[in-house]
Amino acid sequence: MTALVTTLSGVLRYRGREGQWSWALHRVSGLGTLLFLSIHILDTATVYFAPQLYSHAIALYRHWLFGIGEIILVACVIYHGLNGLRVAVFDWRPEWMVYQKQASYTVFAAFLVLFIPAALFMGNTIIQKSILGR
Amino acid sequence: MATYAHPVYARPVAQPRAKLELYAWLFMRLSGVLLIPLAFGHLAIMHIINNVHMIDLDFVALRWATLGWRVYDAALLGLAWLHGLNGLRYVVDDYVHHPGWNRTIKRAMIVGGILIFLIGAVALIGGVRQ
Repeated sequence: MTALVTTLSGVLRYRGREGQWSWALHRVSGLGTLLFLSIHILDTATVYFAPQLYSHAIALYRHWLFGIGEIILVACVIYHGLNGLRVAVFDWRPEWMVYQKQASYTVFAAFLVLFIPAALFMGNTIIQKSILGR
Repeated sequence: MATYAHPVYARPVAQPRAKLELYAWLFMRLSGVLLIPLAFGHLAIMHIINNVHMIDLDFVALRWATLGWRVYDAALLGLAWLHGLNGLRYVVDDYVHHPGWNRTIKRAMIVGGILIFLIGAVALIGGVRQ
């Protein structure tokens, strides 16, 4: 338990700035996506193994709480994908490392450009369908 | 796994399997680059443009009637699942230092990983039953 607290507080206190923020976000978004993926493979598999369960799962997913979870999932995938590209580019061309700070901010900006419209669109769906039931 | 006397640690530590780690590193880059269009496309089509309010068994049956979508989903299943599990392996190595627990968790990941992959693959090949 102490080790866990040290680990987690270390992630936040380590003053690695942009590189450290990117690393922490990459890890959290990757783990979040993996958690959803493991559930998503199993829920989709019910179309073959237990079709009546699939309808039940879909009914649960239509709740606004799951809708918000889905927006968080989209955030995780967009960030992880864009930041992963940054990691791959620097592995491919290590000499570009001098621009690592700018690259981290480029990823943050590109994330917002893709995520904000997606979140607005999905938020509208949640309000229209899950809450107002239209 | 082979062990060697580490210059810092008192007890012998597991020797890193250089070849395997090189392939794992390469796989993460290649699958990662492929997953950008695959996963972004999947999210856009199935979670944003279409959404959970439009999706039901008929929707999945209609979609999987096209072989191309099954191939797309198979690529996504294989690449994303292995990419995610290998990423989790890095996280386990970072935080679980006790050799016994480290090994046990990884074995559970291999068994669970194969099991969930097979469940997904069988459903993808078998299709919608109604």
